[in-house]
Amino acid sequence: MRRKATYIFPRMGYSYAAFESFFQILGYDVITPDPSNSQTLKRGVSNSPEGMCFPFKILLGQFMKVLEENPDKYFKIVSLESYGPCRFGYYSPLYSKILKDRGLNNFEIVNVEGIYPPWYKGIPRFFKKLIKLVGWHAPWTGIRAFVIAGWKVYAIEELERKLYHLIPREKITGSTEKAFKRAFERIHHAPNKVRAVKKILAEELERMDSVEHVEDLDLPKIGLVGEAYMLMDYSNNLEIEKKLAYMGVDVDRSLWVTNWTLDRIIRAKKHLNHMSEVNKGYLDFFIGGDGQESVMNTILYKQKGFDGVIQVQPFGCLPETAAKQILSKVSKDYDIPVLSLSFDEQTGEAGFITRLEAFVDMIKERKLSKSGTREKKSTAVVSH
Amino acid sequence: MAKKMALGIDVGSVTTKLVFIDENDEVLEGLYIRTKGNPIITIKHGMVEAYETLKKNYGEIEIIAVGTTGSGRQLAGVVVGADMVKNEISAHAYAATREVPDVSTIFEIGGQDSKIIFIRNGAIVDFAMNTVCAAGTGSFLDHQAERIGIPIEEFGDYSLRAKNPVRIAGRCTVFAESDMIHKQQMGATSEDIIAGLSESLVRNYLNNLARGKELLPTFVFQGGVSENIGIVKAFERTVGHEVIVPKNNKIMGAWGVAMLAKREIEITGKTTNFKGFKITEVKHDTRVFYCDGCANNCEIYEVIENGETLAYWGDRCGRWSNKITSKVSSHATQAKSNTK
Repeated sequence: MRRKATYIFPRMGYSYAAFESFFQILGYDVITPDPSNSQTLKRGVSNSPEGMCFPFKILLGQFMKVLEENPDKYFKIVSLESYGPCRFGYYSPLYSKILKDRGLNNFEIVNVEGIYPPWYKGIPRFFKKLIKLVGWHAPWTGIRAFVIAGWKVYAIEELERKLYHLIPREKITGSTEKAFKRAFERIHHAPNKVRAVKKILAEELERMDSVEHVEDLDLPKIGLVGEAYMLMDYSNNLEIEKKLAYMGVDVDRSLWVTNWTLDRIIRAKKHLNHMSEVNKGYLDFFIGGDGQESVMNTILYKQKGFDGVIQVQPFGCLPETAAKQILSKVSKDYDIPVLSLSFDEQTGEAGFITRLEAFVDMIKERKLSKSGTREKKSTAVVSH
Repeated sequence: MAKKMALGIDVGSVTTKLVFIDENDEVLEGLYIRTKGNPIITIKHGMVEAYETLKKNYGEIEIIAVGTTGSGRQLAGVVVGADMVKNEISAHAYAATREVPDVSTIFEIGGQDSKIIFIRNGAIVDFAMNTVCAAGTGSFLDHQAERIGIPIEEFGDYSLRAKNPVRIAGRCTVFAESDMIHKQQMGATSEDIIAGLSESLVRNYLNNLARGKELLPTFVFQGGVSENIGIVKAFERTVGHEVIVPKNNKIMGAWGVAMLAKREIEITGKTTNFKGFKITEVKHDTRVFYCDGCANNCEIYEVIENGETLAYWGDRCGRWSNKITSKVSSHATQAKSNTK
């Protein structure tokens, strides 16, 4: 007899709340791994090949901790899969091998992947994997799970956008964050009904808006590009968005769970065409990961009138390293400053903050010199 | 009437710099002290020393603005009561443009970090900082001087006397050292080795930081390592142009932040947060502990003045740092009000 499986999935920023609901609606137990901390990182780093991508190490550590702490449960680990050319494609077999070598056998790995052309092979493949992932359910339950999880992801992202919009404008430092935490918890524990999620979202957005703030500020705008996982998970990018927001910057992230999933799974073809059009002459072919997206979004940010771009790159990431070199050309041709930051378990927070501050100073300076006034203004130092 | 001055403090990894400037931004007193692992005590010693000299030369003094920079800027800022806490890149660039207005490229090499800053029309347009490697920074040169047995101050002169600089692998400090030992054992003179080391350090610095960037004159070289004439010459040979070492080369960061703080006070019209020279008599403690609030296990740093907590930092969620929001967040609100 098959044991009842508990699901674990990669934790990405705040979106975990939605994924939890997804599996709960389907009637499964689910455990959310801890955000990256010294314990998970230690496990992940010491059990991975040294030159492996940083996200792999992070996730391995998080999964390992859950498996070790619950030896009596049987887990299904949800993993994302892509077809090369970068090492992302090897994540699942490697997890499986390393975890088994460590004597952990209470799991199996299930993959999610996009629909790849040609469609007549891609679509059946997609559904086959999907059934393996969630098991057989009444179509209605499956659709309901997708719709509600989708709404929750959307709601959380709306709240996050609001948070980063309001932080540089708030009058009392920390008041927006407090409101956001409350709002997030309400969405997290919202009843699994679309109407309830919608209602809570509307209420909480209004509540966040009522935080004392100055709305019409012309702040410098910085866009974030880079590898999706590092970008979306605040515990791994040292909360770069929040830090920038506290420095008085309008910060925008290029990849969110919603647009990333849609672009990868549903609008794949359209997305790729759009990308090769924008990237013409720079990086108009697929190199794996999100390297191509980084280049595209930098160009798009420039066109949208942003003042600077920061590339968030996990140490040892092949596509991002390739993109980094191309970005220095993009930066020159399009006249937009680009700062590349690479993250791994050794990243020191002090050096990171110094670079961010200097970059923000530079952006503010450029913005002022463009608008004619050369009077310098200071950057906030927030000691989080 | 008391002489008005602004103070700039640059707490670096190896040395601490204190600069007092007058109302025309001229340096009245500049101190360059080894941090020796205890920034608070070093700052206090420096302030006592500077106070005596200044008092002798100018009589009564009044500090109108204080700025801190360098890797220890937050700590220094809390201890002395700074009006501005600024990253070292902006501070260095500001000082360099003040000294050499048409500067385009700034090389800055300090105790443990090296940076390159690109300036166009007086504003920073790009910068890079060493990330994973400290090859070629002051600490490494210090260590090598000690190993070869010559004082670091004479390092530059040695390299100028070299006849045939040897090639040293400069990509990594550890390999550079093995290579130097090897060349020594092969019979190369200290002069040739030091000259070779200077060359390879400059090559490594430019490879790491200036890759794919356009190096335009005027060049300015500052930071502790710019004292070393051998490295300056190596830079000149590599870029093929004169490299200016400004007169306050070792204390540029502190000077820059002193000017920035002074201007900030002038623009906003606020009075300084400076706690006065009496802080040298106050007892300061620091404490590190792990927060047990959640799975993040943040390392929390606490600064205590006479038993009262001045600041916390290191927490991600604000559980500790928000406890004394009223005192610390003034920076944030200040900056925000400035942008309005």
